Amino acid sequence: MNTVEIIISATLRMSVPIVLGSTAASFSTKAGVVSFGCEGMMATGAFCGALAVYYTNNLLLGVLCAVLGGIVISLLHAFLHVTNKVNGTLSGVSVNMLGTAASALVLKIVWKTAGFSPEYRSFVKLADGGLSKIPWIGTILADQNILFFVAIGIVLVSWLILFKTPFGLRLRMVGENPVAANTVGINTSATKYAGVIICGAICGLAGAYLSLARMNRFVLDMTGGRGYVAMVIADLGGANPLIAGAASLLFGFFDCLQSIFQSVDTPSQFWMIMPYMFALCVALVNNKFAHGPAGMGKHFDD
Amino acid sequence: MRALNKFKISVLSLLAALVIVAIVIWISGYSPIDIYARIFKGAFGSKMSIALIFSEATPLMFSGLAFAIAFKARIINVGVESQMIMGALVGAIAGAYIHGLPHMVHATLTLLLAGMSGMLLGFFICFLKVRFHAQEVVICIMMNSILLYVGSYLANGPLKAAGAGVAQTETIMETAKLTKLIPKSQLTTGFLIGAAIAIALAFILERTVLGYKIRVAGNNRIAGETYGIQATKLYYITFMLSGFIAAIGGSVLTQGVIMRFSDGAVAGYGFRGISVAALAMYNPLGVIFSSSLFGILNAGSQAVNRTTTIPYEFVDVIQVMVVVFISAPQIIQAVEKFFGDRLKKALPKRLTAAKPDQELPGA
Repeated sequence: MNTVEIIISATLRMSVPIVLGSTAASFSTKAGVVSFGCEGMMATGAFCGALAVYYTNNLLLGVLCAVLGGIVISLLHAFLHVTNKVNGTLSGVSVNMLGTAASALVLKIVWKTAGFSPEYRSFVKLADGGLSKIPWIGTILADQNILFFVAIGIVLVSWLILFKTPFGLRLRMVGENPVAANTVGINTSATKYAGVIICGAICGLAGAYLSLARMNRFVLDMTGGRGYVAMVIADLGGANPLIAGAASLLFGFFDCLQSIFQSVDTPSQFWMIMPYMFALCVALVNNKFAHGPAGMGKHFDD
Repeated sequence: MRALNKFKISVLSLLAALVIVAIVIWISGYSPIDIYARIFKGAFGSKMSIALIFSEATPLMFSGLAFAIAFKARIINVGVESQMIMGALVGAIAGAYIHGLPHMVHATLTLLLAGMSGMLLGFFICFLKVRFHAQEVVICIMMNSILLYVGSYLANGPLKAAGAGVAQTETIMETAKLTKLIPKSQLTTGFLIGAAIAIALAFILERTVLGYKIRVAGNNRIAGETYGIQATKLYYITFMLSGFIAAIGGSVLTQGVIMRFSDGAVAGYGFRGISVAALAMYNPLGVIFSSSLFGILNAGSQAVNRTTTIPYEFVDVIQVMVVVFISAPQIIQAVEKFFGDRLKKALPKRLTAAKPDQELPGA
């Protein structure tokens, strides 16, 4: 593959967790719940997936466990914020902290290691079958693993669900104006829970990608702020999965610069800072481009 | 909430956190009673370990104070980590490269320079928040990562100590080091400085106009604005104060414990400060105690880790659960009511019966 193809392929690989994360955050944001817990949901998903694959050597089971892990920890966020009316930011931060602390603890208990888990089987590139014969993008696509295509599918399905189904409509209505939604008879709590749980599930999948596909082990702190980046990018796109997905590719590009420029004689930290600078700039211009739902953070009995 | 009520919630939250983690410990095959006893013994076992309690508590105290004062104005400054890194870095530079000053002057100057760098960082973060209407949490999280890599770059490159094998800067001069309170330990005057700052913050919050404004802005920004309390100016002051304190905390680490800036040295103190602040119900004086408490947990768990194979990571889980319970006091109150009702039913009736009305005089 030539250089351009390498860069594009690496971009796609690096952006999968952000694409999934921003889609997840869209669900939460559209339902009017601050999607701060994404980082913890990803970390939990990554860890649960790693645990499952280590013991069963079955990747599908690993992915399912990752999704389940994300759902379970998202319940904490929902319980604190939706039921107990805790400040969304605070409950999100505590969910993130719990994800890290709990995975560090269980890591130590199960594997007796401090920073990372032992290796196990992981997703590999798709077999070099007919895919690479497609002109232009064939080799790039063949360089991805199956979760990449799953991610694309999820983005499309999410867009459909959010904007073309009655459930999505109810979700968005709860996000815009929970009081009015409650008057009409929609169970706002249940809908918000649903938004957060879906967010947790997809974030769990993103975590699974990190520990099962991008690397073949679980490393502490492997999410590296990606949850927050995903949330910021979702806001940029107005919580629209398609736009957020596209913006995530940009982040993936910045993320892969670091491995591309490794051989060039510039300090590696400079490239590591790039993705976070990009996310910071996105966070700063967010207010100009898109507005979140009007009912963000509100409850039906405010 | 009244003071006694807050204290009760604080204590119950800690207990609840300990209970939950005890369950986790029990599930993973260890005995919670055994582990907690070991932690206690490990923390109070010797003079050196008691010194360790307070030396562990020192950075937590600074971090907790920085978070607490910001939280009083309803600002969630998760950028304490970045401000601590900034302070540690500037402290290491000022400590190593400024020559010819007597001890007191050099050490104090280093602390102040570090504090000012943190104040500038806090100002910058607040500026971004105000100018772009962005959320301070996102800005802070990104700033944490950015500053981590900047520090890493400096420690690996331009500022790297000559002949050093690992990423660290030059050792600071003797005149910049903080005096040890107990010889051969890591406990320095840093703890006293932190306590002094806590007392100063408590005074500011309760007895000055600025403190009053901060509390009003935190409780009800709109009501405050009708009184003429400009929320924006207050956010700036609070962020700068928070950054100042956090950076001094980072420099205390450099000047008291590590004696240089090394890559990844300040890791994790920022977030642990949130637990410390939460347990203290965001009261500065309370932070002195809650940081000492977590110092006990940390010192004790280090002893546990040395002598057994039991992991010390559950201390982090305890700290997180404390934040969870403090943030939702209704949970604790519900549990308390649940057990309180049972207790009332079990006690004999006459102990819990309402007292008869007082007879009116002359009736």
